[in-house]
Amino acid sequence: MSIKNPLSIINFSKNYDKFTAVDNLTLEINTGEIFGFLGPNGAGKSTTIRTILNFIFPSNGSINIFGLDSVQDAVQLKKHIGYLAGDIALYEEMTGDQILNYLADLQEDTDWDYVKDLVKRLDASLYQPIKTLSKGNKQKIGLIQAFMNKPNLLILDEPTSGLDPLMKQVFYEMVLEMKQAGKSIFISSHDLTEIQKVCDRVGFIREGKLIAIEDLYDKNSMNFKKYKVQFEKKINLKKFTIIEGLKSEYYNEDTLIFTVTGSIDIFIKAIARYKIITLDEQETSLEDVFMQYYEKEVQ
Amino acid sequence: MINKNSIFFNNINSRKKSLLYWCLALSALTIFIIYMYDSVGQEASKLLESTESDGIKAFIGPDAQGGTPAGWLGFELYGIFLPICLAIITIGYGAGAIGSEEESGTLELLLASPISRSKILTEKVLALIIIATIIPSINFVAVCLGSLLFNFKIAIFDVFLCSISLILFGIFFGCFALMMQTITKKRSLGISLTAAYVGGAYFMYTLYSLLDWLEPMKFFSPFYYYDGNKILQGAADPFHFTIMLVGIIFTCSITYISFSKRDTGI
Repeated sequence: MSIKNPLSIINFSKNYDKFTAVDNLTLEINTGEIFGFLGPNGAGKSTTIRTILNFIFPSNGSINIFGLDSVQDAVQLKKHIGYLAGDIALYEEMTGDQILNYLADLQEDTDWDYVKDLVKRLDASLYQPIKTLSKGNKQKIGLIQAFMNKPNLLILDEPTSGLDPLMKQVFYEMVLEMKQAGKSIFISSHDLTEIQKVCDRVGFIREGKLIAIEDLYDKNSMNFKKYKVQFEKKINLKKFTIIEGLKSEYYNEDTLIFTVTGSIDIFIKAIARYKIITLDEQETSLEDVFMQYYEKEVQ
Repeated sequence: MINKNSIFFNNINSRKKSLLYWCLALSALTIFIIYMYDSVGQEASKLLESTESDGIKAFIGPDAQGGTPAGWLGFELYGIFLPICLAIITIGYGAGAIGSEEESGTLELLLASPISRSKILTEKVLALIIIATIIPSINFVAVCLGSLLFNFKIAIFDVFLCSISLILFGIFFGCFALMMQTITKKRSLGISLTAAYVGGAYFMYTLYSLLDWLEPMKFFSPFYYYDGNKILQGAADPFHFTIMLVGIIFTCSITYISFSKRDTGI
């Protein structure tokens, strides 16, 4: 099984009439890898996932899972996939236990001891009707059904949506255990921090196009940080614009936001020439990441 | 042995309460109608026979007759009332079998499992067949019980054949609604298009005896092939049963082709 790539997407496009949801996407994920698929809402992430699972058909290109074609071998390949839908829908009248039994019977075999372990770790409510559960508790049932057959490839669309921080941590542990067991995981998200926490590589998608794939173990990839610096008095922005690897903008009169793409040493030396009141690191948003790639393209 | 976690069983199970209520209500009504035959049935039948209006006769059903238990049962139940009730149930199920799951998103749970789309559809169609069979069967039992209790002299075999025809009628409209939903991808459109067909088919069936130009249109009406009144009067036509079966096979085939080749959940 491990000889073939868990997932190969080759020149995949999906069109709806004149609208192109995904445009010529090519990527591969490796055995035992956690791959993050990052993009804003409407970027084409869910369309890609829905095509991998053969819910929709590709307009062009092909998708292979362990060497099996996503259209021709749709039934066979799903034996190897665990799937969590973004904003998961469950049968509202059923309990979690009934849903897990229902879905387990559609699979070949289920390790119920493992299911019990997942239920315990996620503290899931199995005996209440789904309609009475909170979003987070529904998400737990969704995660259990995705993991319960120990699939060779996990496809998770916004997996931590609705989970509290404690449960997010449990989820990260579950994902890392799967990785250690040689399974591959494909996580779609719009949360950069989450992706950075668990993924080995990340693909950035925007407006249906894959912009870049970065190796998160490579210290040069996605090497940029944002800082908010409050100076004692107003500083002229032009003093920083000539420094390579440094971008600045006004936050307010005496405070600037710096985006540092080069050496942190240059940044520190540049601001040290002025009296500083506060210095805070800012969370890097997905938008910031995309801006970096656009600027690289322009250059 | 039935797997209680199968798609088929799950579909039946989720509708068991409403089916039970329908069965209880229709059975009680059937027994009541049989009970009423001695007191008002004769009079109503005479009224039906004496009417000069072709229009009234057409709307009651071209083959409706009075004066006999078979005529009374056809007039009150099997002619129009039961087929319409059954059509409402099966159209609701047929359009929602895939449509409800598609709209709510639960269809993804099934499609992400290692089962084919045709297997999902087959289990849904089997559930439709069972749903369409339960009500006419229970009603048949109610007729047998009523005829024993109230000395209602009717040929039970004709009622049996009429029930079979009714089942085929119900399955056909359920399959038609399922087909319309899989083609249009919308449950509400599946229901409304099928309901429009039921309405149109009913008028084609009732009015063809009044309007010459409608005569050929009767062949497109499932009411014409079902024709409970005729069957109850001992004039079942095997050809009509066959046509309904062909209609079911045709709509199912279109549904399978359409569902296996289309994007879901959009």
